[in-house]
Amino acid sequence: MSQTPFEMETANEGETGRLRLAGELDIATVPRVEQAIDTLLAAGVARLTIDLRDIGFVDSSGLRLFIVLDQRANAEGWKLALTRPSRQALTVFRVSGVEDDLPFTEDASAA
Amino acid sequence: MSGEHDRPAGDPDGDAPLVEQLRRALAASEQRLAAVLDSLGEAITIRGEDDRLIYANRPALERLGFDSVEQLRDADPRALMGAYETTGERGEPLSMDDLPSVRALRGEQPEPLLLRAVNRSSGDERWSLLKTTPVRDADGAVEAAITIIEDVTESRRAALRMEFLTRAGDVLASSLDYQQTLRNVAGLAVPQLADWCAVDLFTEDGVRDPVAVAHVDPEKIRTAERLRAFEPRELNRDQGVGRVLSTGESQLYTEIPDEMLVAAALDREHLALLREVGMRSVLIVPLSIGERTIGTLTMVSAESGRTFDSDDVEFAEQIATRAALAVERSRLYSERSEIARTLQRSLLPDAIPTIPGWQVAALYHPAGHESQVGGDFYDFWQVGDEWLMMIGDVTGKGVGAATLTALVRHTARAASEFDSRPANVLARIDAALRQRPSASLCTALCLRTSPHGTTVAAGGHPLPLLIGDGGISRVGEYGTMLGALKRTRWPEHDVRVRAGDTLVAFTDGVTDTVGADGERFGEERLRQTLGRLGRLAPDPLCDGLAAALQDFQVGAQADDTAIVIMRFTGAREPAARARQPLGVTAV
Repeated sequence: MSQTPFEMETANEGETGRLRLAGELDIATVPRVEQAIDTLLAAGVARLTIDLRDIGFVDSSGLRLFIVLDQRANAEGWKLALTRPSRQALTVFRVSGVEDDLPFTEDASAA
Repeated sequence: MSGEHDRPAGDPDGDAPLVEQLRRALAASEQRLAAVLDSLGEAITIRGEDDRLIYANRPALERLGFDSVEQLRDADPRALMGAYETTGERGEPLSMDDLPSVRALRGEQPEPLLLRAVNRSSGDERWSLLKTTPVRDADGAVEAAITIIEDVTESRRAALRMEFLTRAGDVLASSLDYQQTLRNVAGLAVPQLADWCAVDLFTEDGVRDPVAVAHVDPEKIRTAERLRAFEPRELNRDQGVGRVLSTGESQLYTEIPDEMLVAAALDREHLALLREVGMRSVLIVPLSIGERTIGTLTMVSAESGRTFDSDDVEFAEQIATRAALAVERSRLYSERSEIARTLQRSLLPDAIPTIPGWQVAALYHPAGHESQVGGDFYDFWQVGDEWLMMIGDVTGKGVGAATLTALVRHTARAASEFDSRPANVLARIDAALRQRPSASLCTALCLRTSPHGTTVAAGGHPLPLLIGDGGISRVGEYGTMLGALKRTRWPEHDVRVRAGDTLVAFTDGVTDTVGADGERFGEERLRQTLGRLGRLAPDPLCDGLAAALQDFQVGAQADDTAIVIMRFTGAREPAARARQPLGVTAV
């Protein structure tokens, strides 16, 4: 079973920064996402929407990325929304007891 | 035909003025030609019958060491060639028959030749580019060969040095094994830059470590090894390597006269060996880190016959500077690795304790460079008649991870003194992590066992597997990751173990291990592996699992891996030994 390689698309719509992730988010790919997020936040977006629907796997470093990002959003006063990933990828959030803590939404456009 | 100009040339009376006129004109023309040729920067020679040189312009005469063309004409061409050690571009020996002028006289059409000539008496080294044009007689036969000799010594040396520096740069950056690196660099230097190249490092107490000695001929290297036996215990600070070490300044011995060898020799055998090396010229430069001289680089010119000059010293110093940096880098790295190993050891129990009623095995396998401390940990400790086991994973790597691991372990131990329930231990760790200025996250699984039972709680950590009569099952309930989350819960779960049951606790490094096509090891494969390994004792089970992970893994290990295996014996038995981390290999 071959895994989907990691892919990332970013869009800056002025107020809203959008990030669509696909494939595997792990210790190897997290730094790229961090960099993309820093770029969007540096551009002054007030909302950051991360679409996780095409994410197949998240490891603990991916999980930590979202926890730290959520803390940062609260501290810095911008809004974070995560579009809920597939059941498989959601496992790590459940195992960690983090699912209820993170700002998951069902639909990317609603965020 | 009439008129004085048309008379036959044999007439001595009427033609005399004309012949004289022609002779003068010819002489003037020859002088002009000679003046033109002499004024050229390039050396020009003409080779004629019997391969003799019949003409050379002023620069050519100077280079060949003649005062006049007449002298040159009298010289035996082979003796002339023999005054030089002549080699080609790649160091191959050249003979007279390889010269373009000689080949042109044989009727060949030679390509230009790049040649290195070392004057046997002065040791002077010159690189020349020889281009020959044949001169033909009326019948088309080659009667002479004109050769333009361009002195390319400077550009050739510059090119060789640049090439050397580039290759040395690659070699020096390629490895942290400085001994091998220095050997490779010394190997690059011969025979283009020197006949011998040696690197010695010295400890602060002055103990010599002869790291590298290079020569193209292995037989010669054995001579050098035999010479080492004669080295005095105490270096002479007034000369040679000893002087370079004590002053930090380079030493150049342009010529090594035999008297010097005689003076340096300890006995007859030593002198014979020194003479066997046939040193012509020697330069020694320091390997320095700041003010400290850590070693020397020695270049020796012997059979090539060339002598070193200040340019060579300057160049050798450049090489030595880079080599010294490579040594320092490697030393710092080893030191860092040693610190990391020490720190890592301090974060794991010294030995797996003997826990009554249990057999225990554990392994820890940090990912990445040995110079970094990993974020996984495990611990066992006793509180009264209870034993606690914790396995966990803190954010990050390195010193930050080490600090966090220490905090988590100490908090857990302290908390358990007052309330040893796993949920309480996790709650206290969570509270301690929240006090940290930056986001500090940790997952942990805490297990408590006593004669009254066994309890487990997880804080964002994978649940352990229980291998029992009924197969393999997950035990416990998921709880919240420690250190950051708003809503927290750490449900406790009583584990019912029977004699022979085995608990396998692990970090996500195990299940996240990447195999072929990016596939993860996963919990399902972990269960299959444990099932396949059967009901082994903790030690062989741990080995088997580690081997299965290693077989599965493709590429470098991405994350730390920790495993704790506990088998309930139901009776008091001594515990298994602690094990060494696996797969911690030198880079």
